[in-house]
Amino acid sequence: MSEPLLTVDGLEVVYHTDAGTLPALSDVCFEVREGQIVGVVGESGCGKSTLGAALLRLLSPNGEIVGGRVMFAGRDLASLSAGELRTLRGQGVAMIFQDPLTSLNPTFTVGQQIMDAQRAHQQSRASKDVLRRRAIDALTRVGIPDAARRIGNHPHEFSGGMRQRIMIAIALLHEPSLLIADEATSALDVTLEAQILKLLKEINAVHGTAILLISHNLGVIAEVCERVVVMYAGRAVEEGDVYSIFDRPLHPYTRALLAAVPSPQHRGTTLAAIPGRVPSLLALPPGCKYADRCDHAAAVCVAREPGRLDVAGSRVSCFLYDDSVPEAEKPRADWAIEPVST
Amino acid sequence: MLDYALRRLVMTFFVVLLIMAFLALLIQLVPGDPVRLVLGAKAPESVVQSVRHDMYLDKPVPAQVYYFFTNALHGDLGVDFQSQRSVTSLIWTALPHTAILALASLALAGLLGIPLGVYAATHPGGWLDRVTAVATISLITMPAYVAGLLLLLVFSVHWSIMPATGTGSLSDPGDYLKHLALPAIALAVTWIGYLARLVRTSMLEVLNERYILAARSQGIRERLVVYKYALRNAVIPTIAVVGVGLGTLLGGAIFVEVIFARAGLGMLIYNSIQTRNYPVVRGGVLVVALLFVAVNLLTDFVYHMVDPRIRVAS
Amino acid sequence: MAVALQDGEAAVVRAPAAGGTLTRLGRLIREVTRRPAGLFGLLVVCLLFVVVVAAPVVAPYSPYDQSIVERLQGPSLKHLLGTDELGRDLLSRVIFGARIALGVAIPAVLIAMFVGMLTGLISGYMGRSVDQVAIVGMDAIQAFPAVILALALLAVLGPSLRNVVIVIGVALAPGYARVVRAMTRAAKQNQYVEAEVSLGAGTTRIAVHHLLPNIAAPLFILIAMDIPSAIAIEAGLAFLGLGVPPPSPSWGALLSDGFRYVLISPWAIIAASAALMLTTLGFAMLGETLRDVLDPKLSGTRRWKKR
Repeated sequence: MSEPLLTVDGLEVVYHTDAGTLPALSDVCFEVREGQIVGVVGESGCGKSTLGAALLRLLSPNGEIVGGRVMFAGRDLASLSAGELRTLRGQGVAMIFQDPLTSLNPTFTVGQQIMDAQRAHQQSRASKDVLRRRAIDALTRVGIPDAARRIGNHPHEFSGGMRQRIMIAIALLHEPSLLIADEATSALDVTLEAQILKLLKEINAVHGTAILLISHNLGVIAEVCERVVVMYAGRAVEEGDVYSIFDRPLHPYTRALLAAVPSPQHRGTTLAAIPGRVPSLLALPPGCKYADRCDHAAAVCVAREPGRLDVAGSRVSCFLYDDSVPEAEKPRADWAIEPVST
Repeated sequence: MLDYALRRLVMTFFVVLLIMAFLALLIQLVPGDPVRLVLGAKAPESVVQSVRHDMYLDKPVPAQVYYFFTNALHGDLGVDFQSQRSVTSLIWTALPHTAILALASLALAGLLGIPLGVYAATHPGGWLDRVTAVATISLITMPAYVAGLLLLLVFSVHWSIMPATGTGSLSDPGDYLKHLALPAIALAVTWIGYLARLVRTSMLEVLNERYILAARSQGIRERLVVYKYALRNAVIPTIAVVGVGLGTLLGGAIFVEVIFARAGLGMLIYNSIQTRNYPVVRGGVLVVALLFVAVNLLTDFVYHMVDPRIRVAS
Repeated sequence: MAVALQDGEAAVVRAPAAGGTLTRLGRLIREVTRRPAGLFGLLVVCLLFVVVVAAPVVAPYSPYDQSIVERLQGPSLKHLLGTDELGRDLLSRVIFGARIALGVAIPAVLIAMFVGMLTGLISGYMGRSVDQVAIVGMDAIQAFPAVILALALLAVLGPSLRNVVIVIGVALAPGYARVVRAMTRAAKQNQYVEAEVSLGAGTTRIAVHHLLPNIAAPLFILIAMDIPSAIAIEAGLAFLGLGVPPPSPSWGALLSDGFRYVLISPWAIIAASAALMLTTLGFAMLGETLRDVLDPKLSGTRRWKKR
């Protein structure tokens, strides 16, 4: 098997605040292969957005990567110089964000921003006309009508859907191998969301661009992704291919998440919600972070954190599948499959 | 936009009316006879009456306000109590020096304050940021007269390298600049602190915005991100504040002009107060207030024009 | 530098925080002293109050004792800060000057606060023409730099302690009026308030229960920032000869006396400048820290943004 495009290995990120050091990401591991679409899903505050920023090493000043490795195209990002990192951003890896209104600078025209993005990575100095033409092309390719005229407009003169397309156009300028979509459709209504997802799938199919799709919306993940990483309280609790995750979830949290999605089949029954709340990152319990909300928690779950286990093609962090725990102390669930230890 | 502009103008008109009424009525507050106080007990009654007549003081109060207003519209702000020179001409001679002083200090403050603010914002928590934070608060809270006196002490008295008094004449720019230096620095001192903190706060907020993160993720050079993208957005709220700060500047100018014996509007007002020359005081204060109102109006409009979002929203 | 909500700025009316007044005060003090700037500011302010109250005890001499023989001297063991042109001890004059500084600043700010709050309340509550008139008035007052307004008024009224206090109070009042007005207007539109009014709550209850707690924070901050402004204005007026009349040892008077003899002895200027700067710096730092602490928890979330 060839090397994965992106490998995240044991990534740990903290934020330094007045209130203390917050462990935003702990021991996160997953990979993205070339041309693959991988989804990262979880509730608000689970750390998925931190993940996006951390990958490009664009954390806010009080954030710090304190452990683990991120490898892209075989190179450890930590070993890159500032200049090399800058070359990577926009060319190797590009990112699009949640709210396109705040992702585009309101005081510059769209054309200026596209041209600046072009100039960031050009080998030779292309003339302004060339840049301008390329900018118009880029807009047209993502479906913006009348691009030649609209290039002189400011971001607020576009609709939300078009703004997101502009963002995507900018992201694709230098044909990146990986596109990180951080809640890219969360601010859009359902119709626009469908259009953008279609666009993303097209990009993946035509250009072979790998996509890391970060979202809290299970529907979006199900529709587009090949593999899924489920996050909770800064940890990757389960990772597997999309079918396994949705048909045969291994982690109690994944199961509860799926059950919580309202569907017409459950009409007439109580809306399933996960009782309790996500623990505050300032006061994380010592054991499994999900233990206090889990229906199956045993003493061992509260005492220490589960390790990562390979179970039926997926990876999961849960004592349900941990053979090293004596039977008497292990949590039980009738839906959990028998682990095939590797 | 037009609707907003119109409303602003109407409000401003009423504010100006109120200011002028206030100043016209001010003379009524003088305990005793203002004319007598200036001319002295020995002045003949006829002279006193004639001056009172010229000042409209023998008319009913509302009429005084009316005459003040209509005369002012023609540029007539009354005459000097003693020398009978027109107040307008006195102000006209003095104003340029104050204007130059104000502009020079603004320029100085901008040249030093803005880069300082940008640097502090791009290196948050660094030693320079912390030093700047303390230094700028000290600078902001330092009244103009303290700055002026200390500068005078150090550079004119102790080291005798800068002239202590005088304005110099505009026909000799070098000399004029030498006389301008210390007063301008004294006024700029407060402003540097103010601007630096403003720019720093603005920049910090802007640098946290998502479009800056997006720009960085596109691989745009950091220097471009800061100086082109971030600064342009950060400067906009700064413009709004310039108008307000001008008021402090004008207030400080009077001290600096007195300390350095520099000709200007502040000096004029001060001298007139000493000699109880009320028409000049009234006229001078009116001009200061009007200047302030005008600058505020201007910066308000510029602010609205510069930020495309607000332009559309209005 | 006064902090004020400008018209149009949204004022957020929040439900009052939990805990009795004393515990909240205790918590506030703890938060303020946690920060070095706040600690410094609080210490300076406390020191100032002590000096003001115990001036006769703390000062080595009377500020009025002249001694022509010892005039214009620099610091010495006998006169820690030197002497002025009439041989008066500068340290003592500075200490008693603090009395004038606070004696003018505090009443002036109190006047500004009461007049401003009243105006803001009425203006915000009644709206329409009353409000428009009030705004024109506030704008008119704020169209003058504070010093110039004070000068104009004192030039005609004549300088005296009473007049200086009133004049500075007038100049500072619009700041409070605007804050209160914004709060009142926000409260008028607030749904909590609407609900209570529909249930028959009287104006007093609304004012006390909703307005006051929300006003407390910006008011505190404004006061902390206005006191040094008032002190600076008073000293400036005294410097120009329009402050509290001599032989009062106002710091501004010390500066002006020192200015006259600047070529001979710099010590009066140095002493008064140091006093002024320390005082204004202390209050300003306290005000800054208060703003950091009391502002809608900006300091907590500003550094950690959940995205």
